[in-house]
Amino acid sequence: MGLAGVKVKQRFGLDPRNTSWSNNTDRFGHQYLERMGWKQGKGLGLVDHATTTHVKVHIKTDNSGLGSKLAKKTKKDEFDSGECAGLDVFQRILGRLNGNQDLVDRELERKRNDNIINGKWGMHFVKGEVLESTWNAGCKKLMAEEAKQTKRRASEVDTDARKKLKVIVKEKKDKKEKKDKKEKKEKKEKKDKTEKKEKKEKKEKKEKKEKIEKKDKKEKKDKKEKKEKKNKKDKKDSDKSPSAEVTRDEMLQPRTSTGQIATRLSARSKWIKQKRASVMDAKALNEIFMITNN
Amino acid sequence: MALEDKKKHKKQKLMDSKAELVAEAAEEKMRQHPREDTPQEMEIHDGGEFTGVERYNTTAEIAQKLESGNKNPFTGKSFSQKYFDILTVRRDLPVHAQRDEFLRIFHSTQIMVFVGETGSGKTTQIPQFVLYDDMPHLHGSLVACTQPRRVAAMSVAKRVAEEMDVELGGEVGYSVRFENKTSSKTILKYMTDGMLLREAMEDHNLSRYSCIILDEAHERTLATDILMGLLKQVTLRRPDLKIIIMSATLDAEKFQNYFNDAPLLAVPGRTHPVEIYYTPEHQKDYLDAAIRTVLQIHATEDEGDVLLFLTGEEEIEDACRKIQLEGDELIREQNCGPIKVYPLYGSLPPHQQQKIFEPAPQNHKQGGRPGRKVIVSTNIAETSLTIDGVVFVVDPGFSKQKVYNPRIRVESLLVSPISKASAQQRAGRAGRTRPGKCFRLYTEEAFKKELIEQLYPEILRSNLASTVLELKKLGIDDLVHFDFMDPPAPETMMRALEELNYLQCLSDEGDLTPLGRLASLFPLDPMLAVMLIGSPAFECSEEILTIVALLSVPNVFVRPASARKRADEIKMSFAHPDGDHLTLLNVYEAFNSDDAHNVGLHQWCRDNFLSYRSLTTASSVRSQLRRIMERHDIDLNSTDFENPNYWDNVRKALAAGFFMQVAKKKSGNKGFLTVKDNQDVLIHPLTVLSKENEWVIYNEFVLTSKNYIRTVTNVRPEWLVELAPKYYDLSHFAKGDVKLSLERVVDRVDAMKRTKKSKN
Repeated sequence: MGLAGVKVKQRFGLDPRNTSWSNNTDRFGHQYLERMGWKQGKGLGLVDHATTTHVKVHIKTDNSGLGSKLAKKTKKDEFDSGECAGLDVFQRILGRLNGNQDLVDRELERKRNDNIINGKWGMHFVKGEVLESTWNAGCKKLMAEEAKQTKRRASEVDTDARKKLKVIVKEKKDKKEKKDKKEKKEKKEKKDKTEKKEKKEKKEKKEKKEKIEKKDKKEKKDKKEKKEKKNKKDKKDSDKSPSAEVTRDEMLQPRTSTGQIATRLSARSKWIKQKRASVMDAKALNEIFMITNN
Repeated sequence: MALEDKKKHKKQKLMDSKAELVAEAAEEKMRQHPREDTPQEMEIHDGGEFTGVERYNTTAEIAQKLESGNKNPFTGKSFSQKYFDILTVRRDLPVHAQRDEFLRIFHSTQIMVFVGETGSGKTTQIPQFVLYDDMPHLHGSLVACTQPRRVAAMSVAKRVAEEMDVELGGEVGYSVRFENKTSSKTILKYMTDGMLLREAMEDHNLSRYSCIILDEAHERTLATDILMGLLKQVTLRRPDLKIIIMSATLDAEKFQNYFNDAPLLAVPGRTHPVEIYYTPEHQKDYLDAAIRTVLQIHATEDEGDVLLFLTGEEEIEDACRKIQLEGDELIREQNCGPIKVYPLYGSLPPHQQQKIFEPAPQNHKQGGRPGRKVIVSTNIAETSLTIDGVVFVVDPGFSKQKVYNPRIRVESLLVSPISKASAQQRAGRAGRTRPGKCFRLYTEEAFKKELIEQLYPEILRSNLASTVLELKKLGIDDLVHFDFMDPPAPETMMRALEELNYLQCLSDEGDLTPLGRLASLFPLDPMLAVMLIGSPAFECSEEILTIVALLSVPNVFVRPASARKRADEIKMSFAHPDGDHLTLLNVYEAFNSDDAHNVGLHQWCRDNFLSYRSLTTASSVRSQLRRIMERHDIDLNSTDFENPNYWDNVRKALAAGFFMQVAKKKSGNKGFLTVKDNQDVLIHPLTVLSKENEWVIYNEFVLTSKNYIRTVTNVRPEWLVELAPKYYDLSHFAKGDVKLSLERVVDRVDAMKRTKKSKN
């Protein structure tokens, strides 16, 4: 049994799908259907969407919730629990640096409320769409498919603000993590090298360990590459979407608007002011140095 | 000469099965002494209320005038005060506003599709609209309205009888499997879709009916699907027959397309907006999450009852216990209101099902937080049962669904994700009385990616043996080109055909045999029907009748979590060493013994960990089946209990029916192998059978993490080879252990026969 999880033994019979039955075309059923004009590989009936195989279902043996399969697929590495630990403290200051203080404040307030609700029996929920009647009172008609789509879009706009914020926060997290990792890795490599030179004659056990470490590193590299690709993809996606999402890169670069110079300068001065303010007042400084009063 | 040859040949074929012989004899008797079917004259009232009203040309105004009059136009009696009270409520229903529109479309077309959201009143009102327009009593016809569930058919019929101010079973009646409450007066008949299908088997044109309403068509039950295919053909033969397809979802286009672009009428329901909440990430344990959510709702949300959807009986009872326990703690610690938890599932006794309609508990403390009712239900509460007062819905996104694998011949109920449509349906349950909230225990992404749009219709998820038999009986020969709305998988169809062929319900040419015709009359799985028909040849049809009845009801053995060991011990006192089927027989005998009656049946069942409800249902099923057997001249006989062959006869009769569900012990290995399909299986631990037996028949193949066979009885392989020579034709067997043993058995049987002959 490894650390990866409980090993599940599974034994299969000789022919769990009973292909000896399904491949046998001499059977009465097969012969009868063919006599009636059915052809192998085709469906029955008069419609063109007829199924050709029976409905297949996964057997669920545990109590894991819906979507756990999806989550496994998108997990970045084994240390990624999907939650971000400890970075919440910086979000307020980062938000201020980015110039959308109100938004971040509101979000953090919401989180605080959540935490209050979440006692022993707490559960997190995110608000989704509102289910309403499928009936359009105005036209006295059932809402058509298009109508439904527009409704959905509208609700998306409503939640856009929330989503945007999430995107920002996430991207930042990603970048930070990456940087941290790179630094760590470099350090480790250096260390390893020196160690190797010094302790070559030492115990075999250590060598084994190192080997394992090497493997780990390789895996990490692979994963990183994948991640980078993913990030690129994400960016592309976000570029495509009409609602221009604010990324960190954009934030750091001075905004070169195509508008008039006066407005450009005023925007820039506002931006600088905000940045300065964020490091000037006492509260912000406290936050930066992680001094908490409570 | 040629005729004689044919006869001989026929006889040779008939040697195959005892059941075939019995069926042939029964049919012959029937031909010689045909039973006079006296068609019941309809008792109708015609007091001239409808004079001057033209059929298929009425308006809402005319109907309303008749409704508001002081005499009931269908009975001639005066309306009661209660009637007028209900009438005002009815006039308030959303469908009522569109009565004229409905009538216009109804007049203009033969088939129409009607979409009404839950709460629109379609199930109760539309059939009445039709009555006032169709006037079936003046034309000697009936209006039928089908429901997928028997409970729904019964309760709706009761309600409509009240609304029309008539007696249930009079002008308005219902007909469900094993229960018929109609009379010669009946003009509106609520029935299960399966019952209408049975009627269609006798009367291919459904000529008694002038209008057929298929309600809840969106549920796509097996019988509804077949009925739609059938009615599509019948409408061509009977232009006077009107069809209304009623559905509760937006999927109406599919029905319209299927019925040659039938016109559509849609009516809104009376629903309030429901806010939907998702979890930010997936849950590791949905059961735990569900319980936590319910408690959180209780602690933080306003007044309003909670409906939690779970998958099965065991899970529900478990959750109820936990919620009640933690809820009581919340009252003490957090000063919450009182909480009451009710389970709801199909096999729950009716009086306990009724409990869910009790009001939420009151808080006796002055100014305290309000009490709350929590209902933990299977997906019955999704569509068929409406509970008012529910404001919060908790939906983990799973339900138990039937699936059928034709390759290994397993039909089981498995926990699987629900569809988007049912998720929306579940959410809608929160908005019945006022704006509500639905908490989904999965992410929005999972909702979009993991859930399918619509549940697969039942026809794609079931064993079709009885359906194919029904179709054949309905006179449909070309099963390949039958116009299914969603055609089943070819392999499923093949399996059904093959099973029926082995059971000799279908001849090798694919035609219905006398046995097939007889078997189709029983509301049973063809295999059980054939076993029952063949049983008189083994002198034990009474016993087999009992076993069949007990196999068609929910499990009779109760095994409460608190007293498992005791329950198992008591079960062993009924045990027969040769198997579970025989044990069932013992249970039934004991249930009908004087001892049990002296103690009182309820008490006796409780003492012996047996389900009173299952056993009484079994006796009523038994008497129903017995009546069918009597009507078709099938002998009812029994071997004397003292006779040493008593049990062997029963086992032989079982083997003659269950020969397709046999497992053989693996040599030098634990576990069993199913015969012909070669699947590894284990005998379910709750059997009375000791493990020594080599050949067993089984009633059920259950798919879980391990494959189990349930309800098993030990048989001799000689019987199998003798009773089902076609199935046990060794040239069709794959090489292996099973074939080797069977070859040895055949040799032994042959040797025995030879010695017998030489002795003679």
